[in-house]
Amino acid sequence: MSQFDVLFEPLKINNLTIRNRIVSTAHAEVYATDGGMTTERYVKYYEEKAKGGCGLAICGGSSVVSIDSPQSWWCSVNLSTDRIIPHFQNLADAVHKHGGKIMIQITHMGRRSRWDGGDWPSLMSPSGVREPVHRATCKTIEEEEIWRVIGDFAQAARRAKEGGLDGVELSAVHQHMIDQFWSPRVNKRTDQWGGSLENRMRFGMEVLKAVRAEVGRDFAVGLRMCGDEFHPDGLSHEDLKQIAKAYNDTGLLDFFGVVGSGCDTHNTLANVIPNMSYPPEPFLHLAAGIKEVVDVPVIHAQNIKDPNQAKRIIEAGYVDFVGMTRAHIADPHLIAKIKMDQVDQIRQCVGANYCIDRQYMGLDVLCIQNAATSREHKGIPHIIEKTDGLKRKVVVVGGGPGGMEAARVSAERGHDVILLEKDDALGGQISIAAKAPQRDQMAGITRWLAMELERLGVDVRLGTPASADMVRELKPDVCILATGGLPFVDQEASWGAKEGLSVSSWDILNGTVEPGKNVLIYDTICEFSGMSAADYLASKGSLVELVTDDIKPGVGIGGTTFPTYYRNLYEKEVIMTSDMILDKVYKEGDSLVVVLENEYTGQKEERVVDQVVIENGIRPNEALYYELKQESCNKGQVDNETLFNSQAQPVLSLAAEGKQDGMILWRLGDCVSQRNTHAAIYDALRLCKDL
Amino acid sequence: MSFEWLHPTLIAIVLVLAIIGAVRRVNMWRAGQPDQVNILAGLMAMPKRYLHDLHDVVERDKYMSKTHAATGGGFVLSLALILVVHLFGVDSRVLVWALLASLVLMFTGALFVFKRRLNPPSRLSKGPWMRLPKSLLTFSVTFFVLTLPMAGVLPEGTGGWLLSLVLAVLIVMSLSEMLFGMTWGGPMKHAFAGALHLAFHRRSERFGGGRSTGLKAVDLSRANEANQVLGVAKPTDFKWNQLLGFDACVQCGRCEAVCPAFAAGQPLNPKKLIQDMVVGFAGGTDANYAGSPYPGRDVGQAKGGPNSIITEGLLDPDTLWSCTTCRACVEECPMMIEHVDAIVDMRRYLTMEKGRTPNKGAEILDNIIATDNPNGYAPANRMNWAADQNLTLLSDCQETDVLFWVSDGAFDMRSQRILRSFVTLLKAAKVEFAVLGVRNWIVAMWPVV
Repeated sequence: MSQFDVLFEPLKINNLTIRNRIVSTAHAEVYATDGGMTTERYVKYYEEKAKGGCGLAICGGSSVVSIDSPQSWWCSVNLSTDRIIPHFQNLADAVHKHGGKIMIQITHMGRRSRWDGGDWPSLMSPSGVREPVHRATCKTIEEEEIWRVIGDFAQAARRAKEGGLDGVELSAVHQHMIDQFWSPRVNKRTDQWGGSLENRMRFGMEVLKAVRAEVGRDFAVGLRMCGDEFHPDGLSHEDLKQIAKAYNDTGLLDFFGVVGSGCDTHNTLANVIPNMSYPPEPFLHLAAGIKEVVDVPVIHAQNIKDPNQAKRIIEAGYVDFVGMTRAHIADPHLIAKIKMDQVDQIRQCVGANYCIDRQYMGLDVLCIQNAATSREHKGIPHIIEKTDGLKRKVVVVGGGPGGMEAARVSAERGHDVILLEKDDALGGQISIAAKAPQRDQMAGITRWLAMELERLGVDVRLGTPASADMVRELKPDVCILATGGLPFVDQEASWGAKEGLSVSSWDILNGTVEPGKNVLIYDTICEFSGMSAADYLASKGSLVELVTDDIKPGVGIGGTTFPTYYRNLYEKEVIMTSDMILDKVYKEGDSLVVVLENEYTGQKEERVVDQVVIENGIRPNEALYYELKQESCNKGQVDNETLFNSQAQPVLSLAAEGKQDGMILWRLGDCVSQRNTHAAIYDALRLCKDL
Repeated sequence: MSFEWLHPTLIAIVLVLAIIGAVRRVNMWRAGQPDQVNILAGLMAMPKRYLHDLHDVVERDKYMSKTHAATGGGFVLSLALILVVHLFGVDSRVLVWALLASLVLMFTGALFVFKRRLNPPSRLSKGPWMRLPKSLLTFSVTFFVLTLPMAGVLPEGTGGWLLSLVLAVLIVMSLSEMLFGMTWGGPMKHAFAGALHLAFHRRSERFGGGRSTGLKAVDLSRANEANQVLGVAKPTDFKWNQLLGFDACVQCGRCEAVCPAFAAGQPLNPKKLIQDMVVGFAGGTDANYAGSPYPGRDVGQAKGGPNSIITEGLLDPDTLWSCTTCRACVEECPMMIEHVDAIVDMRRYLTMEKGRTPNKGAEILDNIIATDNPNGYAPANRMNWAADQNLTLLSDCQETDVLFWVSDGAFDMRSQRILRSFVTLLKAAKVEFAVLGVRNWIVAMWPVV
């Protein structure tokens, strides 16, 4: 008996027995290729989850049923063509092989898309109202088109069934076509498709009837809906309970999924995939409310990251299945580890939202800390096998994410690993990032890696700045430098960093410099660090102006993260100023004067403050690399050909042939060039996996 | 010798006392419950059981086996011949020399017994058993000297009245051990009780290469009769041949040496248990017990009587509950005593009459009542591990060649991996099998009561 038994009580959806209560809910992956086909990367991504014990995965967030709901922008799965059927067969086989079930979300996005590419359609919506978050205009949908789309849904469901998938989930969430009809915010029609609640529900009802008629009663069909739009002119929780009950009473649905919050504005978008600034399961009450009025199982995700949360929720009966989707992205073997009583070895999602933020930029979904996710088809492993080659002595310099991952993977391979870290704790730049308000969960990345290093018996030496001589004395076979970088505050002498007139964002977040009362932050990077420093200072009571020469602070961050920053910054009355270049900083009496120049007009302005913080990225710490480079057998070089193909570095085979002359030296992460956490971890993983 | 009438008279007196003792001892056994035994058949079977079944057990220690053959065999022959020659005065040269020979045999054996007792292993009880070698030596030498004149080796009247007196004393000493003690509770009682126990053993099926190890069922039909208890509360609740068996114990401690509870420091020593059973039916205390105690319990705490409740003063229930019923003691006992039957009988009284199930036993029983499994898991969860395996239920296919009985491992996350691996193997080998589903009933692996 274990405390997690309740998670392993199977439950039926239609005729399917789902083997456990943790589900991977529908999310956009941006992996489909060849016009929306579920090709190898897609299949292997879901196969890994099934292998890891996942009982049900609903794939393909926003998979389109019609050619005028464009799939190309986010490489969505395309159910508008029969070409998809053999690809679905591959997907179904891969998942069924491991005892899992797989369904797909099908939808017409309506106005929630872009018209300016591909087939250049006119987007459609009940009343032609423009959608704010995608800046998309649309036409008012006509009756003929309504019936055509209904038919498209039915055909899409048919294709899913013929492809061997276990079911479909109709999307009436995230303001797609079905819930665009539901919402009075968007549907102002006066015909039978608008006005009263019954009229507004009609489109979804006809879709459901058509889908059922096509696939029969034995195929699982569910509905994912919103629990509350959080707009005064939108659908309230009570409205949605009424809608849920009406759809449930048709007897045509096998399950419901409930998502808290609408998402057609930037602010509400952040709610639907809650990042680390949100409390755990913040919208559970909405899902529980829907469950009260329906007879079939209810699935709810949103910030359920931990098996203990899942257990509590299922035991208390709020919902029947919990979605732990990002949790599976961070660790697809989550369920297997619960079963093997290795809960501490689960790589837990920290809510960084790197995954979804990439998707909103049209990039493929990747996990900030698990570089193997979605790279299964390239042979990047989740579970590192022990090497059957030579045992090597590996020295890693730097205990940030790159260094820790390199040490972890090398240790999993069975080598003797020593990790040298100059600070008194592991974490590197992540530790700094975690100091900002509501960003503390970032340190979860360090926590898991540190626990793994301990479990694997890596010799971690803290408070040990590495020198070239130290490395030489250790006589490693492989030396990996992950020494990160230092703030690049001295790019322009006029910024006054050398004279101590300006400090770095690291100084502020680390607490090495006391917060000023009246602070100007100059942020050229426009990602997390500048806004984190601003948030931190404002929470300490400083008056803060966040200046950038770029378009807006936070312009480089994705759609679910900048809203949470803006909420904090606006609430704390931080002034955000764009398009101003930092010209000069000088001292006048007790104050500092900052001269700013407008990028477009050249006009200058001054600010009088008592502290200037510069966020200008970092310069790599390369000194140690250049000291050791010449004496290494590979001159520190990484062979890109093999690296990009996920194959072993050629230099590794030298040792077995007795031809390795000196240690192998590699550097990775920010000490090569400033990139990000994922880049550092990916490099560490793909270099060390073949060690 | 002078006083020719002295020695035969002494022998006769001791013999009479021995017979009285035998009757007394038999009545103590007969105070127990009736048990059906074919008396005649048992007596006839006894020699074979002694020479084959008992010998096989004793022979596991070849050294002592041969010692006992010489000593015991020598004694039996000698005693028979002493009665014939000295008591009944039969005049036969052959018998006299035969007696001398058997006494020499006994003496030889007794030397080895003496040697053994110089530094005996801890499992052997001390006390009266330490004087036994001296008794054996005394007996053999005394009667050897006594017989010499009859053999013509020594002239009649050798030693005069002094030797006669000395021999008289030695006769009294040795015969009181060897004859009187045999029926009045001394170490030699094992010969009397042991032989009869072999003849009237409760599990006669175990002889001649047989096996009788299953527990005997409780007779519930008489449960409501007055003065009937379930199990054994007082010594007289045992069957008479169980009491007979307790008397056969030679305190060799072979049972103690193999008992896992004793080795683990639990308060159980099977040898002392049997001796306490003797204290029970014969009355008295364990003050004279000279072997290893129950671990953690001092000797001298126990007193009993044939009609006193055993667990109120003679035995602590912990002693009974320490037993694992592994039957190693029964397997090793050269006197064929059935320790486990006695323990289970006494446990039955505690649980079935007094409701005193120990430690977690009651919880286990409650769990079995409520959930059909000893750990109290929800029975409906038994097949959750196989939710994705599409296993065939016996209730659906009605018949199968192979039934996969999944056990309580089905409730444990790590054991479930074994079950899933096994199913993978069965499927790969294309074996068609069925499972019972959630109607799988687990049978307790060993009896608790």
